[in-house]
Amino acid sequence: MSLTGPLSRLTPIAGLLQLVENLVFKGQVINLDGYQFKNCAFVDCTLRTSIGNFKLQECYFQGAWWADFAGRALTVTRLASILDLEASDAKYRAVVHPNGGVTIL
Amino acid sequence: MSFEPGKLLQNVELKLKGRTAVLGIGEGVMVVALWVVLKDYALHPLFSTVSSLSLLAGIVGFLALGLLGKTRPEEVPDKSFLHVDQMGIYVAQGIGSHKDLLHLMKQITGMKTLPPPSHLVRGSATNPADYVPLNSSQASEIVHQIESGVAKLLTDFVKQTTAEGGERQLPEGGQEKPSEPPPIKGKLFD
Repeated sequence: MSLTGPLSRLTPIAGLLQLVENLVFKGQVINLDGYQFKNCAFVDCTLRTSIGNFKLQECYFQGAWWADFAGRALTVTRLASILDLEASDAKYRAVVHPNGGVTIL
Repeated sequence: MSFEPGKLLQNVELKLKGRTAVLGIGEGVMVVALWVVLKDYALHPLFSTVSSLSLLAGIVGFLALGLLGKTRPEEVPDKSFLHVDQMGIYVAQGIGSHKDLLHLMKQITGMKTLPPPSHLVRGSATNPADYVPLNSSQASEIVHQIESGVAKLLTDFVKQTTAEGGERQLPEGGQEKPSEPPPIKGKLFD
């Protein structure tokens, strides 16, 4: 199969997810985007997303797990940080200027 | 004005659009010449033998050049990818292989290969007592299955999307939902 030749148009694929079920990941960096995790456990894992294209259903987080945001997801996280700046990690925090102005780059 | 064979060949190539055409024509000419020199073999056996051997070498050489020669920059199709966010369409052009296509689709969905799992869950993921340890080959097999599932999911999606000539209208009410992908379940070793 090839897309060569006439232009090929693809409709949006935000909902195109591969289902992954009944697995435990331990001490790994998991790129969540593109997957739907169901009944999975993440033990001491870093969960990473760039575009927020994922689903988690009845998953379990255990140990020293961490969420890592990049790309568009990072921008959204910085916006969300305004809700509770003190609770946010510096990397994921919006810049609030002394005059009250907010910068998110 | 001097005659430069290299420039002539380049000019011919440009007019014939590509090295393959030139090689094909060259092969044809040599086959005809071979037939001519062998036709009158009885009249000049030595000449025919030498000529036909040379022509055979040329035919094989051209064939090898065509099949084994490296792709030149002008022979690689331009690959482009355009995403019109507001209209929600992706336009891909110049994707010549299935591997490239899957790579592109993985980029669009943000998919990256998952690391090997450590356990299966037989029951609830919230209960560590339900975890069954995996050895490295079992874990690798599951990763392989997931990768195969991803490839099938993306391939089916492109097939489905391009089945109607790449032009398809979205159903009323917004984005269409792709068909449910086959699940990758931790049930390999039951």
